[in-house]
Amino acid sequence: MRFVDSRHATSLCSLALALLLAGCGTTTTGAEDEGVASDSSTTGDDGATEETEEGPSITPTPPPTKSRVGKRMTVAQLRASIPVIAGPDEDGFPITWRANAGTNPSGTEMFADNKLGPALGDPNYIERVEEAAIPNALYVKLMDDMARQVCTNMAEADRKRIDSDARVLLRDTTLESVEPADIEANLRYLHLRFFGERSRAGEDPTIDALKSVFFTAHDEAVTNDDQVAQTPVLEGWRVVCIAMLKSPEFHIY
Amino acid sequence: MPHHISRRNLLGGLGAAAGVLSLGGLSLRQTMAAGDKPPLVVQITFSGGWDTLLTLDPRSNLDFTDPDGKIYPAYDLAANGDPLILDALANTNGTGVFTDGPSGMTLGPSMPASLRAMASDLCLVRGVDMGTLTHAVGKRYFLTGKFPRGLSANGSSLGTRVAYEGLAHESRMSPAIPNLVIGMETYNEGLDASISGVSISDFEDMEDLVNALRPETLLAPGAAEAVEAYLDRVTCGELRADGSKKVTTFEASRASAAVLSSGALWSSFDLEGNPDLLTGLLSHFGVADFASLDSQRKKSYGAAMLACQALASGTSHAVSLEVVDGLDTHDEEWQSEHSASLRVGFEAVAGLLSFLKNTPDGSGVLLDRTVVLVTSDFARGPELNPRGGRDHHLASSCLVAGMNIQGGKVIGATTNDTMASMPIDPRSGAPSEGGVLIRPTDIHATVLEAMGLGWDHLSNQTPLLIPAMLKA
Repeated sequence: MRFVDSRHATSLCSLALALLLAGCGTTTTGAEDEGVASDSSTTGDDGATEETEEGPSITPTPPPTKSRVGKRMTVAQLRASIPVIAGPDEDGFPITWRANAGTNPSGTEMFADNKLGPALGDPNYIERVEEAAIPNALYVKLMDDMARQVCTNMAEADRKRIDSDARVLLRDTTLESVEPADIEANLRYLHLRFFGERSRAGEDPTIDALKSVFFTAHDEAVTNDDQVAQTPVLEGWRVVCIAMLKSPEFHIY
Repeated sequence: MPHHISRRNLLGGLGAAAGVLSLGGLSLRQTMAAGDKPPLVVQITFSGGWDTLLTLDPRSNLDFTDPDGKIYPAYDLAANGDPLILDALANTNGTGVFTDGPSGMTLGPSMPASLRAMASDLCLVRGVDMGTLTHAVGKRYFLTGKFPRGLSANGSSLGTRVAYEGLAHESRMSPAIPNLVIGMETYNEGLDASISGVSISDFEDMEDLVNALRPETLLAPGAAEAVEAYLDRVTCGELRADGSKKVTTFEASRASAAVLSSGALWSSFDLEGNPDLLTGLLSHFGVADFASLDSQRKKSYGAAMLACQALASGTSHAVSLEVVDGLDTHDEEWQSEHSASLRVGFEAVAGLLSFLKNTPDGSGVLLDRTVVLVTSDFARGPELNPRGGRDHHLASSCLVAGMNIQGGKVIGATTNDTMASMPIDPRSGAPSEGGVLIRPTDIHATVLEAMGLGWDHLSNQTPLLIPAMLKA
């Protein structure tokens, strides 16, 4: 085993980050905008390898120009967004994260001042006047809880809807379909609904990854009667929904 | 062989590299000096600005009797809201000033007997020059040890700093919630994202933090793995949005969140489900039945008990908690509320110290590797204002106890004419002409030194060690 000192480790780390972000710099087409290339030969346009008298040297890659200051969703934004994304339940009431959790929640919104709003960073304007919008372990854990409750109820609401056009989670597919084309179409719709941006035309790694989530959950549910949703297809969509609502793509903008 | 870089590995690696870089500025000897387990810290805040005349820096009620004087203890007026002051006056021949026999430490009439009995463990620092009369500034100054930029905190909280040092400790202990914060602000400026404070508003929120997710919405094992695999991907969009390290922090939080979601920690905090645990904790606070407490004591004691359990169970390396709020009593409520609130807060401090002193830890007790720092925004003025309350005052006090801190010691003083801070000789801690004024940054440096940690980061104040606070 060989150790490198921290100075070299830092240089290597900085180079890796620069290469990665350089790769991200080409945003025009296809899959290169997703995933991470680990091969140093994929140096992008921002960096270059030159031959000098002393041998090959790497021209320092300029700092990334497209990095921006991301923000975590505030409690107010979450409170307003979740009912819009989740749509209404079968009785027309907005689905959101509520006390009395589970498949039929009722009562106070968990984002409220007298519930978990302060723990999620909401200021009370007495002691705290600034939002502590930090995605810490508590936030990530509670958003996991939120995602599971909201998505479970979205799946259940769609199952009970008589008008298929009114479905929210399964809008571009059917309650029974496992046809790849239907799955992809619905995933693209959900990508826009949850993340606020259209997926890439053609092959899209995010859509491919979500397909994998859907079919893994579906196939497992076929052989497992303990699934939460009523059918394997609904279970697949419930799990896809949870994956998307837990993702930093949803929470950091 | 294909080389898979997950989102977690990549961002975690970048964070770790940044951590290595930052550690480069520290002495490893200092970092590793704490022994086979990392040092722990508890920072306790009394929010709003406390009256030091009633507690940490008293004056005789018989010597300062002029209602219009520059120093007017007015203990008899404060007794309107806290009848126990009358007992204190009776037990101190009317002065209201308790004197600890062995150390000679004097404490005011609102200081509960439970904490007075621990004088030999306490290092009391008087005449701390806060440099501000603004709540947010004073609070954040003592939180980070660096004077704020305007109203904005400057640097990282003490708890964040200690939790960060815990990452590098040779024990490689990796607590689930390294930096627990109860009802306070917390800051992380440039340190590893994984040790950012996890804030809850009060002790009752702990169940939401560490109890398991509800079983009716859980995922099957394969589905759960698929979700994690999806979340492990790295997308360029996230990298581009990571200028503020929010994505890095989000990723660093996932592992801790998974531990919290499993419910594995809940047994250490489920006091209702574990009556023996609750009874044992309450015994340190001199209480038999938690339900019988008033709401203020429930909140203060609850936060302190939570801190006890977080440290004793190895869940946290640092706990910051607010035990009292609403001390900003400019009006009549100074007479009706202030003393009683201080008493409750110091009772909570005493309970926490008792727990740390009596909880075995290796060959010693937990207090041997824990520093407890008790502070407020600033002090309240020694004059009674025309509205019957007290306004803000620069010369405050603080309490320190624990690892390598000299107990039974009083450092510094305030003058007998206006209660102004007096310069001290840092070697003896005694007032000294030509000495230095004590500032929060000096307290931070000394506390970190006591824990064997570096304090190079306290860069904008030229901090000064106070050797008199440290055990020889």
